[in-house]
Amino acid sequence: MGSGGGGATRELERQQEARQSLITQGLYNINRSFAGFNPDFYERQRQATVAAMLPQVGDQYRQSRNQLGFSLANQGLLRSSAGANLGGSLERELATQKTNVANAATQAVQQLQQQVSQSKGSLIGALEQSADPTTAAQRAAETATQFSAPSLVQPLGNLFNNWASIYLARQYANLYGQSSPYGTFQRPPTPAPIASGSSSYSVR
Amino acid sequence: MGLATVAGLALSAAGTGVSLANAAAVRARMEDVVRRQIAAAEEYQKQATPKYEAYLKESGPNVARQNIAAGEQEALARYRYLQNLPTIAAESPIEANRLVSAATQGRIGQANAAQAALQGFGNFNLQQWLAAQRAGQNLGVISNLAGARSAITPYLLSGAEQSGQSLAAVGSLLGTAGQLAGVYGSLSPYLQNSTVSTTAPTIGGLASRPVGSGI
Repeated sequence: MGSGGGGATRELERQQEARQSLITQGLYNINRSFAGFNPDFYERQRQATVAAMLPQVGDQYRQSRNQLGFSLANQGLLRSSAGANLGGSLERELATQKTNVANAATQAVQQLQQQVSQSKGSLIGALEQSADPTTAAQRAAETATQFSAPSLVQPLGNLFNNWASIYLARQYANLYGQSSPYGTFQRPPTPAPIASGSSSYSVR
Repeated sequence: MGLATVAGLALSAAGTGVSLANAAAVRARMEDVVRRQIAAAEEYQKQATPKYEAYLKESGPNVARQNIAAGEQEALARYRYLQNLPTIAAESPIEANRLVSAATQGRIGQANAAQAALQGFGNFNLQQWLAAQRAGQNLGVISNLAGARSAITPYLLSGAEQSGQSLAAVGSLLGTAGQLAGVYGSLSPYLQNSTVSTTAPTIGGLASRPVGSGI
């Protein structure tokens, strides 16, 4: 007597418990797939990014220093305070570029952390809707593999271009009125009033 | 008081008793459903509270300062490591000036410290964002399960109510039978002394007065 309603009630509760169990299992699968994204992983990613970018900085620095060395040697300024100042400015630029590389690697890793977290959240959201731990495990594994693959580091631009424009060209102009050995530097259309017989540049 | 009347009273009493018992049973079952649902909700709340408290511990001002300081220190350490890495092997042809070198290193140090401070805030933002994401995901799952559990409450209550319908029907039948018996008992003296009327019922539903009924 009255077993119909009780049976339906028990069935509802049983389905609810089964759904909870499936979601718990799916969460376990997702967490297992994303377990590798720990601080060590991100630190390795950061170091790999730095290692990929740093040689480019070194190459460009060497070219810039050679250019500066030739220029100073031509003027007999290798052993001068002007040469030391320019060498110091180049060192500062190198330090800046190294800092930028470190920051770029950190930013890339932070973006990766955010993407991983967002993807994990999306997978959990889908699991809550589907309560399908098998699909959740498959998608989690696919996503984790995608993030684990090494990403390409884009070639860096001309890192020392600004330094060459500011320091090297100004030194050339002030001392000899010659154009810069760097092709990127250009004279302004009108000479500045304080210049006497030579070009003056407003770049600072 | 005739036997039929007594039987009617007894049946009515039995019907009322069964109905009352059934109502009490239904109420008990519904209360049980509500108790179980509340217990389940409390269980979810017990799971959610530590997650929320953990998030609060990750988002206070002290943690913010720690995040900023940690990010700053890590950035400084990375900058120093990179600055100390030899960039190229060949020695510079430009003669170094001790004063210029000291000034250069000082300015590099200042610039790195400023950059590291900014990185500290960047780390704070990231750690807070990640903590919020984690808490949101954990609490979201618990909230989803709790919501799904509470969504079935009306169906559970309906099921508890419906499971007593058979007994309620028995009670109702007994009550009706008792009423009928009571009516029969009250009318039976008249019925025994009357003759069956052959007239049709009136519009008001009352039978026409039977002939020879003495009323």
